[in-house]
Amino acid sequence: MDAPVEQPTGAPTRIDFPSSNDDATVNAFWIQSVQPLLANPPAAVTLNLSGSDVRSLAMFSALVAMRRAVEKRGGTVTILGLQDIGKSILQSIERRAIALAPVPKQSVIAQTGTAALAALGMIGSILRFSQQIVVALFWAVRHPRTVRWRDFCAAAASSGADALPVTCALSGIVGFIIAFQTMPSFQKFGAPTMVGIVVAIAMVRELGPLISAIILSGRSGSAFAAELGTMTVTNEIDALRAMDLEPVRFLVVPRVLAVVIMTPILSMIATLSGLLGGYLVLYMNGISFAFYLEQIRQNLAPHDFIQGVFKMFVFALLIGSAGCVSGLETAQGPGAVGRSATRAVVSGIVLVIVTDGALGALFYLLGW
Amino acid sequence: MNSTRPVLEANALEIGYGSTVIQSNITFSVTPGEIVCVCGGSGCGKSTLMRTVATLLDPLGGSLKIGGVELVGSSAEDLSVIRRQLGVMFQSGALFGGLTVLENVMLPIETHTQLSRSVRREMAMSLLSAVFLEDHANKLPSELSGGMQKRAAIARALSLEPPIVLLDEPSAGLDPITSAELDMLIRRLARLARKTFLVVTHELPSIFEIADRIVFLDAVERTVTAVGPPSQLRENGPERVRRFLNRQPENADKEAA
Ligand SMILES: Nc1ncnc2c1ncn2[C@@H]1O[C@H](COP(=O)(O)OP(=O)(O)OP(=O)(O)O)[C@@H](O)[C@H]1O
Ligand SMILES: [Mg+2]
Repeated sequence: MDAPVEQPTGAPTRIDFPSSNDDATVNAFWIQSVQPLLANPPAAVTLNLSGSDVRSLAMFSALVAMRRAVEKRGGTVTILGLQDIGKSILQSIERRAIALAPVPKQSVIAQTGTAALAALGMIGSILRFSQQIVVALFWAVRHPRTVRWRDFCAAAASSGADALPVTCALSGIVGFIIAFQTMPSFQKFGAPTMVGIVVAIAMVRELGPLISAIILSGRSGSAFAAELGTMTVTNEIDALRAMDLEPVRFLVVPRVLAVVIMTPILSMIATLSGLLGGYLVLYMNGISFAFYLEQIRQNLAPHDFIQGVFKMFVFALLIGSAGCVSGLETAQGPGAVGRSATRAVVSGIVLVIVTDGALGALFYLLGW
Repeated sequence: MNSTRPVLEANALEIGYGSTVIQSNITFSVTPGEIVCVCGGSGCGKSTLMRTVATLLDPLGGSLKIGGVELVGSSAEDLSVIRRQLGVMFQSGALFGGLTVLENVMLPIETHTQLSRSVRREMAMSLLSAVFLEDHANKLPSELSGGMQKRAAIARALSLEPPIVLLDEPSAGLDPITSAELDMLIRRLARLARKTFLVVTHELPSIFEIADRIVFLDAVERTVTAVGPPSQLRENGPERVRRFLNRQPENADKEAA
């Protein structure tokens, strides 16, 4: 060896491997020789294996680790007395080490940032797919024979009929709560009948569609993401593409069509249920049903109902697309489908509430 | 048009995912009716090559012509033309879980032809009997064994009678008899129907049985590939190819001694 040998600090330049493999010897060897070297690799080291058995996994691991540590900082390693079997195992490990690329690790802060960006990215994804989805929807309307009606029916049943009980129950309760909470204040002003107007406007214009949308997102948005995500993971989406079948046209269109057609109806029924829930409080305060209906008729115009249905139409479009798109963008590996479902629900609800605000402002400006 | 014009032509093809290059200098061409086996160590990029040829993964560089149409920089119409010439079987089978085996095989026929339902059914049934699955036509993929799913996927890949068939490890998980029968099917389709096959396989008997030529992807260098008839490469190919075809790991001779 003619390389200039820089005297190491701490770690010895020659390490003799013990001949015994019992646990106590291995532990002592590890503490006295291996760890100091790994902590502070010298520029040159001689590893003497004569008399030791490298078929022991502990010895072999020590050999590999020390060698890697020294060579990583550009040092030289001389190995003495290595048996043939050890040499060939060492060689095959080295071959792997070259072939395997290192996996970059992310810090916690970077991971948090990535997660935050992912939520925003979903909006980008939907925008990216939106053109494709809109084109495919128009195509489907003009060529109804090309739509997979079987998928449509399944999605329509689960987002419509199956969701009806829970949606109605929830909006009934919300209607009741609004009436119940506002009643004392209005009574103070001697106008308990005003509660009916508050409930009606809130349910028809806002809460009926909003509650339906949130349940749609939790039930159907996540289901679409899981279905399409599983298909992505098992290469079924690839198989469709290879058959020249566009997944958007084939899978997304029937699902989005189903929710867009079914959920405005669902939202209307939910609104009715909310109105009834609110009436329960009025009834307890001695207000007649006929009076309540008359109040609704006088204070709500048809466009209020149309506004609610239109909102639900937009929400359904957003939630259906968000579910399908996050399913199609599922990564590989375990947990990927679950992450897609979560992403579908979270981004669906965020999109719905942001859009609700924007639509509210728009309707206000239009003077509706 | 000359019938021996290559149907598949890769030139200095570079494949990989985004910025990760998996193989960087793949050059080979396949003529009609030829069976070419893609082989090489696990992780060398065989499935990646298949996904690239199946137009599901953009090449990172070089050129790839399928049926005379260049894939690199192709328009949406070109891509459609290319895809109609391909039948693809994925390593995982990738059957549609919600459809029965029969419906899986009928799906491509249904969406790309105007044939009546009974014709489609007959076509699908005869394909299923070719892969010995006629008795399982009405089962869901989840009710089949792994090897049966593979065979159903092969039937689906053949359903539109594509001139080029890509199979990713068709005989993995099959017993030797079924695997040999599958080899015979592939050979017959190639010889009689002049279909072109690109088949990923590790099975040496299968390689020597069906392959006119092999494309060997090297897992270590990632730039070197060997192309040629298997028996010739076994004798005179580069060292790692010879070892692969002789089932001989490095150091094997030393340990035996
Ligand atoms: N989606 C992906 N993104 C990034 N890298 C990938 C992806 N899929 C595979 N790889 C990498 O590409 C390389 C080649 O993978 P590929 O699936 O083509 O191997 P293979 O030759 O088919 O192996 P096997 O014989 O085990 O099927 C592997 O190193 C793998 O880690
Ligand atoms: Mg593979």
